[in-house]
Amino acid sequence: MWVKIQKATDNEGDTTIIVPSELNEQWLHKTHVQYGERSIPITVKVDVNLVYNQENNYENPQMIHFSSALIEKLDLIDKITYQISEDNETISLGPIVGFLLGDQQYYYHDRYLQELTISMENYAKIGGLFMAFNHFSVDWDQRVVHGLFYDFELKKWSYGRMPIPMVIYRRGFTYGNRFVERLQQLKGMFLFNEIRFNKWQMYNLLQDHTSFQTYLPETVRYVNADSIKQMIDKYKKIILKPADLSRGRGIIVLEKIKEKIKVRDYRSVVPYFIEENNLQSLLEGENLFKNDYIIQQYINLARISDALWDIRIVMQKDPEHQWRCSGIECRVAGRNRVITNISNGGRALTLKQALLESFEKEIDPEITELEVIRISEQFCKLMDQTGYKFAEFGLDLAIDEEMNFWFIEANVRPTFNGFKTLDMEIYKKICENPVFFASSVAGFKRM
Amino acid sequence: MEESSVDLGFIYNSQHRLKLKKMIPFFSEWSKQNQVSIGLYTLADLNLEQLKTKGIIIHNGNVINGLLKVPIFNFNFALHTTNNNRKKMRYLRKNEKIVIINPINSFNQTILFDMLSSFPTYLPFLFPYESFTKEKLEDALETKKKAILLKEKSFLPPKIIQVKKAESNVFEIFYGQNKQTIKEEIMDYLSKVIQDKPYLILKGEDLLTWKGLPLEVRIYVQKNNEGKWRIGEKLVKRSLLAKNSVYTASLEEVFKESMLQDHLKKVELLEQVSLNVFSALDFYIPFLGHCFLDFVFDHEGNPYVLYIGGWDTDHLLFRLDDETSAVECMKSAFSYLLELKNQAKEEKRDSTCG
Repeated sequence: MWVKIQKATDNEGDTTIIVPSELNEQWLHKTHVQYGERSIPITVKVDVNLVYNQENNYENPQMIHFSSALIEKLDLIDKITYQISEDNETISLGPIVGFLLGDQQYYYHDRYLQELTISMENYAKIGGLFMAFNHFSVDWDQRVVHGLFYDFELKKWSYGRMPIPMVIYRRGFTYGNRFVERLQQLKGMFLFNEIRFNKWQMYNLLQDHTSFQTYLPETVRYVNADSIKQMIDKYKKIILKPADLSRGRGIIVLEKIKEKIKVRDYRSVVPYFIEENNLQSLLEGENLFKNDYIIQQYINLARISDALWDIRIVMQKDPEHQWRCSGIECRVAGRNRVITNISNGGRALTLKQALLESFEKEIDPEITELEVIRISEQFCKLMDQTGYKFAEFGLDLAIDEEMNFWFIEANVRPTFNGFKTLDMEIYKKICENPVFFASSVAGFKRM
Repeated sequence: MEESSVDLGFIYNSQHRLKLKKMIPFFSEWSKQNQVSIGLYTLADLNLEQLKTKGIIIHNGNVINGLLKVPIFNFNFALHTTNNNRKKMRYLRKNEKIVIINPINSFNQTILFDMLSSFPTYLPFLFPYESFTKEKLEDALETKKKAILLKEKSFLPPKIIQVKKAESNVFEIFYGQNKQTIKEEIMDYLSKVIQDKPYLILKGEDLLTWKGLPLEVRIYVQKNNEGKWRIGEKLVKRSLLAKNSVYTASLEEVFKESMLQDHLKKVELLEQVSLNVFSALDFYIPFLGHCFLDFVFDHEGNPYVLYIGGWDTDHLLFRLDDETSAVECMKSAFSYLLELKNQAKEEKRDSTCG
């Protein structure tokens, strides 16, 4: 049932719900109202003047009156339309869903939340309270969130005071885990994307599964120049990646050519050479290993007009809590670049286009797509087996010249801007899928 | 050259190098008393890749120029206007291993007004406001006969444009300390001043004046060593954010001279509102440590927020004759930073034990 809450005119001090007589029998024995983390004891009363809404839908919600004491105790946002779910004793208003933001912006406002605004395009099918907040937005003494909520009538995010949501979609990872641990201690909390594994942790998790090992390039952790030497002696060409950075930042490719090592890093298009015995001092001198690095065998990936390309698969959970592929884009690196990010001069292609340009007719795009999705589903299921809650992954796979698949990396907070140029509808779906999944976890279905 | 590691960092604008030199004895004394080392540096000198910078290193009372690693705990007492420095600050702000207090000192006024409006308690201290359009201004002048135009964001505190409708199609415009009378073509005049920049319309009351110009009060607040906001300097000004209009007269005296009833209570109210506003903004903006609020008043002496800022490069505190307030300000800032450092040490110890 769709409802809209109005403040009761008789300003009673107790926590009362006033309903039309048609709801009396159904609700008379309800003892609590649930709103996010809040569960408040209530008394249900009838007002015969309240009209029962036969044609109940988002545009025509049932009007229900809450006493002002109840509104205050719930920290209720009363300007939006909710769905109602009920059990024997409790009426729940919802869905109440939080998006825990990162530090992309120093402070947030409607004008910086375009992606979340797109995710709200079909809000009228779900209703409820969607809030965006930061790790510093929670007042733990009062147990409230000071964040932005989506106001569908105004089509914008407005600041407000709200209860702590019990379903949270994490979208930021740059702050410490102390805040997330505190949220997780709340009984009944569903916090998705609760952890981000770095590249080394991910490799160790995946290599334990024989069925997935075939997609993993050999990887070791950087300890000193010997770690590099052993790998470069074995493979002649290796790739060094910071364990904690994404978007290709910090990547260096080293290739042994006779007694020299050819170095190409993520910033430059022109490589340079160093003597092999100068490796340690040079790399340390450049301060390259201040971050935690991994070293991988270099895979001779398939190319398009001599440029590298990879496949970004966006995997998201659907309202039935199953992993689904929401979109596949291929990213072609800029000229002479070692990374494929669009922000680094790369371009986006569909899988079909990329395969055609890279292999001409040797490879069947439909079979390849099925295989890519199968590997991605396998990966997501392995991640679920870790016991952590995940709802979204951006996997990067690549195909080598022999048409083997390789796992490059996976992010719980992927960027998928390439879809804006490839297919805006897919982009919008990727934005809105978390809304329907999180609502379903909160106990509310798309109407 | 080997770089030094210091405990606390102080980021300043290079044009303030001379002013900063005057403060060195204070830094040196404080460093000695608290047994911490301090690095003073500018973003212009910072090597972002290596997180090293040239700077002034103060250790155990000794002051040397040298190379230092960017410390974990830093206070940004600078406004960064060049793209390069802003990029550097963005990088530092996003670095998980580095804490910057006041990373940004110039705020978008519309956004901050929107934040404050979400707290019903502060609504009485805000003029009704909306984004500037020609139509909205015409409407405001028609209904209220007056309006204040405030630039949404600028690196220097902007001058404010006050518009009053004197009679039909005759407008008085106060811009800084200038006053003009414009007939009819008010929008032509304003469009030259505004130049398509986003502005806010504050639908103001008749403002309380002092010695012929609108009375304005700036209240500085900063976090103390417990992380609680405290009142710093209170400055009496005139002319709506115009420069060179600071008076050393005390706020209490000015309120008394302005014949305001319960003038002491009004001062208390201003202090309380200032403290509460920033406690509220802490839920929306992280790492605030030093800020100010500019207030104007109606004829009953009710305060209204006119402008919200962090640290301004033209910091008025340093322009007052008495340097005590500047020293107090620095002491508080560094005590807060030191407390954060100690807290982090405790947390690390807890997590190791647990």
